[in-house]
Amino acid sequence: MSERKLSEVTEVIARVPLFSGLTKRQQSSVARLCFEARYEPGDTILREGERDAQHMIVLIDGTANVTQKGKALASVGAGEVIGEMALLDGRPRSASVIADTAVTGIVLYGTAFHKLLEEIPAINARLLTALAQRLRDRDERTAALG
Amino acid sequence: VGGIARSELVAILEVSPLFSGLTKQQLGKVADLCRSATFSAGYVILQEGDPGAHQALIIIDGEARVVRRGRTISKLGHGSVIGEMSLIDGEPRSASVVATTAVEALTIGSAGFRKLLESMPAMGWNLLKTQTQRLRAADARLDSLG
Repeated sequence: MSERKLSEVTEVIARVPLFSGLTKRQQSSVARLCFEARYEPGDTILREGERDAQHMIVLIDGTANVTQKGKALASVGAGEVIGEMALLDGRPRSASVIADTAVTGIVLYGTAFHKLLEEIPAINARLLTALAQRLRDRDERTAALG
Repeated sequence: VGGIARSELVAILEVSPLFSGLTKQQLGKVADLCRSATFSAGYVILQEGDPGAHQALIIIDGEARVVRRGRTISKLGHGSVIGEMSLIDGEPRSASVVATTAVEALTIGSAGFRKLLESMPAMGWNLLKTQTQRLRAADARLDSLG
């Protein structure tokens, strides 16, 4: 992140659930690998079907809507991670994410993300928890509809 | 492990997607944490809603089905990993798993599972990929219903 001091970015990162529980040193290595991105309401943050996905984003401010084939799937906000699925399995983006309000996010590129996952297993466990919760949410809704 | 030689166990673990990319030495450590278990046809291996998750299982022989609210949602066989979601996020079991035929499985307790995840990044990576694929499948199911 160029606009802010490393110490400030580290503070922002410390408040993100994905990175909480890391040591200060680990949080600052995350900060060095991140870029800050801002989006206006209505901006497409991630596009469904996009191939060769290069990055994931941790939202730190604002809210966004997740849509799949034009249908609303979920609303996401501060602390939530988007775009990691395509980085993990190399398949096209499963959904679009559109900024509802002004949104600030931390962008992490695939190479940096893989490096972090290898160096800091705690991130892995937190990401797994987030995925498990999303899976439960989808299962619940499928059961409610089916 | 219940009559299975350690070398045989390593050979079984080696082909499970959960442990791909692990060294022989790491597979040996996994093997040391496994217990074997057999279930007769019709046995409820995991109970939906059960809050006291204490183990994950890898099916090595036989077939089982995943049941949610009385409905079969998928089938499992050799190499399938079950029960890991609750170990990851601490929530109650999201579905039941019922033995369709007699089932032979390996079990790993929650403490051992956590230890493996923390010490072997490749395993966390494999699990992330599996979860991502499951989430994509769940999104597709939801989409076909909604």
